[in-house]
Amino acid sequence: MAHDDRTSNKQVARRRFLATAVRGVALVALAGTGLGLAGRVAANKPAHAIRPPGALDEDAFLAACVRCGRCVRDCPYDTLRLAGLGDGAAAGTPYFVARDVPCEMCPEIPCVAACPTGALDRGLTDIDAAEMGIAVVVGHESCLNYLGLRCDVCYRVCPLIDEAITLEPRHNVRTQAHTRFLPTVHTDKCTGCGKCEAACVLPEAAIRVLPEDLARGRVGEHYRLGWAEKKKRGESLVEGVIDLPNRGREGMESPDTGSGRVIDLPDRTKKGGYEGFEP
Amino acid sequence: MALTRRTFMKANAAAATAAAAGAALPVGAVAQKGNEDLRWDKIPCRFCGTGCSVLAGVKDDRIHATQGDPDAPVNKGLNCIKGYFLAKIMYGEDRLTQPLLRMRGGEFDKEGDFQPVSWEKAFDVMEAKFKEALDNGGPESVGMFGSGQWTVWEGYAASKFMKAGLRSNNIDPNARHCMASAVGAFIRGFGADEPMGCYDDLEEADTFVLWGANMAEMHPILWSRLSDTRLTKEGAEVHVLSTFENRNFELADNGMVFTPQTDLAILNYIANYIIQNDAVDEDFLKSNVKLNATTTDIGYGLRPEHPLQQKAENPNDGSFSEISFEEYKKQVSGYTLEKTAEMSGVPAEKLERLAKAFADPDRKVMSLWTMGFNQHTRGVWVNGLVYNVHLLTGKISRPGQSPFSLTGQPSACGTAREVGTFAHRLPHGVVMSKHHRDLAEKIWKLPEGTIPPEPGFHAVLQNRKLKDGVLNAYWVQCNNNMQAAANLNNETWPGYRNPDNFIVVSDPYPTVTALSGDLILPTAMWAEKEGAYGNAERRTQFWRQQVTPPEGAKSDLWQTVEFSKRFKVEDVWPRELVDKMPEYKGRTLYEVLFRNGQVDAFEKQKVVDGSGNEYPNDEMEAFGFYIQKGLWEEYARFGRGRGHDLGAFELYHQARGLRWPVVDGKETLWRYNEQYDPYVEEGEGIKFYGNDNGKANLISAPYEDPAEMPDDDYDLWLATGRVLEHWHSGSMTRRVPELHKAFPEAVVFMNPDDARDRGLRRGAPVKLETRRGTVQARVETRGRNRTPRGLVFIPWFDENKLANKLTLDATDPLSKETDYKKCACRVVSA
Amino acid sequence: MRTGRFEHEDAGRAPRPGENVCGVLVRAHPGHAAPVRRGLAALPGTEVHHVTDDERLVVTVEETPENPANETMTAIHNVEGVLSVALVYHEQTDDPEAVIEEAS
Repeated sequence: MAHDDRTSNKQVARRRFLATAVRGVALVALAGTGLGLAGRVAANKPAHAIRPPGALDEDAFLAACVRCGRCVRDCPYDTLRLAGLGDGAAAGTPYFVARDVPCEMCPEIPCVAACPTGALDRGLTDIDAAEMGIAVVVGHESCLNYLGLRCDVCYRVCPLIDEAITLEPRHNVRTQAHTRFLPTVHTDKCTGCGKCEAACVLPEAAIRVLPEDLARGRVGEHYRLGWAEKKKRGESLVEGVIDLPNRGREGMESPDTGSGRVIDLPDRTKKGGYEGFEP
Repeated sequence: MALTRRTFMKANAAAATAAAAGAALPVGAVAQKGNEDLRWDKIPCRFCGTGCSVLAGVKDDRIHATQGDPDAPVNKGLNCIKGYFLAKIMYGEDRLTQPLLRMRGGEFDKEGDFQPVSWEKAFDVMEAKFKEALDNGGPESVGMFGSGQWTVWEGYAASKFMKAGLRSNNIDPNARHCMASAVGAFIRGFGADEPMGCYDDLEEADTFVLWGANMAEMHPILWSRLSDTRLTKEGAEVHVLSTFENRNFELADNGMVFTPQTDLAILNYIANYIIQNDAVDEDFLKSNVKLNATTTDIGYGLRPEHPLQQKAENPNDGSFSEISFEEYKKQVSGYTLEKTAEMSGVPAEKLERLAKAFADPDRKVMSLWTMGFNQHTRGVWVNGLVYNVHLLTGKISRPGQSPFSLTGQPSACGTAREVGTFAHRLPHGVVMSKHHRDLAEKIWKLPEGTIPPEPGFHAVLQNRKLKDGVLNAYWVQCNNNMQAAANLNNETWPGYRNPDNFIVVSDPYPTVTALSGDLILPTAMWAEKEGAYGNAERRTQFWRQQVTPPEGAKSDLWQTVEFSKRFKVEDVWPRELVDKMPEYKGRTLYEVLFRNGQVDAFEKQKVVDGSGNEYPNDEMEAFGFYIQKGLWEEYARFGRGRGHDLGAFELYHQARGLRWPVVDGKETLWRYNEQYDPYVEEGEGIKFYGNDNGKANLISAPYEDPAEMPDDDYDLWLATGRVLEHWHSGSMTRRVPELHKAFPEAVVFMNPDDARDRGLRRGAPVKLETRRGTVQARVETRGRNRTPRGLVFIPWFDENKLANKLTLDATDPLSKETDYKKCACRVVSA
Repeated sequence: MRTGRFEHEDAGRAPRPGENVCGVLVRAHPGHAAPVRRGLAALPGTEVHHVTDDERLVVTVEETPENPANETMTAIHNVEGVLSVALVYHEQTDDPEAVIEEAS
């Protein structure tokens, strides 16, 4: 509970500052030259400010949001806050900072239900389909699992464990005896709730939620992944290709890979439990 | 120069503003506090039984950093997330530095509030209370509860103080909750404790079977070794059995969720399959194995008046008798594939695949288990059943062929088991054996008959006897039993608060156990003392005292030895015993036990590492001799030449741990095997020399129901356990802010369909109820553990949600280890 | 509504020095950078860190009990020669005097 008290005190202090400072600066801006730097900052929402679930694209969202604060009021975990001038996002709009308080992904999505204008899309009824942002492992040199340690806290706190974040096992070349379990975010599943960023044990998080446009990489359309295409089709995309035997190794199938090969892992368990299993 | 938040913020503000102006600001460099000048020395990790070695970086008498030791064979520079935070565990804000006594009006009062007192005063009150108990109730009325986290010499000194000094066998370690079933099966099967194999099997084997061991979270570094073998070795496969789906299933080729307790049936099915399919290694069986059947219907280790105990035909009977192969074959023949699949809920093809792995002569099988097997009302049986399938196929004591019992505490093996801090054990052997008592009395230079021949109170019995007012003066060191012992409300708490009793708790932090006691002694921990731990693969590792403890905190070793000065032999021994050794007349226990010409044989000296760095040793300073070395060398006499040879003291300060038996300067990787074990003569091949006949005991045991199963009132199974981020009761890891944040509070893992049936959404607060107590927590239907319908899981690290209010104090009747993995519960909206 | 409640709760509390720190970019009228710099130096809690070639000043404003940050910023605007004032950065802390340990 002590932690909660600290949080709310902090919020009170912050809001008190904003209530006064915003007025002061507004005065300056009005009397000034219209430089409007504060306004520019607001339009360029900083990357760490994440919009609530269901938020429209930033431009459409800013146009639709009436700054009523109802989504903030109805957030049961005090995740959402209203932006003030110092916060970067447009003043009065809702956002959250994953590192501080992540989204708990309430199944009933009370913030969306509270939105009177549709700035938060009412069409979002399954919280797993939310696209608040995408978690990205940014610290490949600092992430403990990349270094071979066994942290994987981000993986284990993920509400969509094994779907949004998986651990990809890789042979540890240095020790020759251990596995590095690389946390890997699957952008199609990640909702951007930020539980991973909040829980990252490093002084600066090695995994961060970024807005989708900053986070997603894309393979060029001029190139296809041969192994994925083959798997999709179930066989080689070209037919009737032959392979000549090797002298001295006739009758032996050529191995798929050489030494140090990585053997296929079993299919992942998805939703857990076993169908029809009841003790 | 100290950097304040304010200056830091100002620098940030200036830099950000300059950046907005497109100008570069010459920023004054903040002095970096680097790693330079740190003194690095090796020390094993404080947490689990894996025994990773770290290097501690010390400067100005403080550990500033740690690193995995890149040359340590176990972990090669790696750590899990707990090990990553080792540098922080000693520096929690609420470290205790003064003894605290419950007082009112300046004197001890059971109902008083904790107030600081001097060590002198603390020991005065303790002495009076222990003597009062001894005068009124004899040695039976005093007791000690210790730990698999004690250093080797702390456990040894405590055991000697209790068994020889106070003549009470009422000393037991928390390893009773952890490893006792494994020990029971080792002793019954092989006549000698601890695994035959070692961690090298993780690379040597090609088939891994996890029986109730969530290695992915609880032995993270070993799991990463096992995974590496799975990834890089052609044909390697992993079978996982658990009562719910945990992180092991991520790598499982054959994942099996079974109905609690049916592991007994599954193992018997495998034995049946092996026999039916002519996969028995008959030569091996003939030369190395004796077949037996255990006595059945043995009860549940509950109080004798409990109806379930009354109902049992042979309560607590651990006897077994020889049978023929035909009889054994008949006993397991009932466990057919169909029947076992039905009992266990595991699809038949999965069971068969598992059985085939054992039956295949070309597969090297390593079985691994921890609490799923050990915390089991048939724990000794089920441990034995896994040996049975390894013995039938000869898959034992050979590289990669390895039934391997993992451990949960850093020195469950090294201290609790090897030193013999159990109520029935001695450093070599058991108190019930005259031969073993004679040996101990001889080495300890004590009169014949000093050590009482009856086993003392084991952990669960200690709590019952506290409640009943039989055990009155009680000392808890190095553990948090008020958060661990089952049935807290009805058995543990009443005993601690019984007005007849005086409870002393030694701990670095104010745990729930400490706060439930009457006197709290502030304790030096881990790197604040010279120590030795023994891990699960028989590897003993030493460390030097890296830093001095906070002023006022003292190690368990100092506490026990210093307290022994308070007793004269006449206070605690009957006259006829003293008369046997008149030279001890008027001597204190300190003089008799620790200044006996052996423990004090090594003079005070400088502790120096290979680079010439000097280290403190507070106990050597306090007592005036190298007490750790003296205790070690006296202790090592018990094992040398008896299958448990330990090397010389200095050797361990030089080496990165050694696996015993250490004979002729060599470690032993696989015991009982002529090729690797110095105790097996040339030409003997495999010899289980712990038993007089040189053979292992295969002990047949059937399925029997657990003590409590879901019914109409309590309709769910409850399993408890751990999470990776926290270690045991969280007294250390919850004081590391980052770990606390990573898993702040216990949640109830529940199947989503079970939650929906009860109208509960994820995150909803619920009451988890058993016949013994209630805990409030939030429901988690996602995440790391996926429970099948009908079972919920709650971790026990959270002192705000004491899971042991719920658990049932039913034990294995043979090992006396509690079953924390199954009882009946219900979940209702809070 | 929550925001209203917070504004109400704000009223009674006096700020501690350094609790709020602002980074402010001040543009001076051409040729007035030097007098603006002198004028800003006279304001309590204000510090000029840098003056750019095009006569913009990098300024930090620390709140003091006597001078809330908003008043200081208004005062900046009133300094002779100031053309515009823009709040670029703001940080707030509960404990300005907390000693920051370097991460180990």
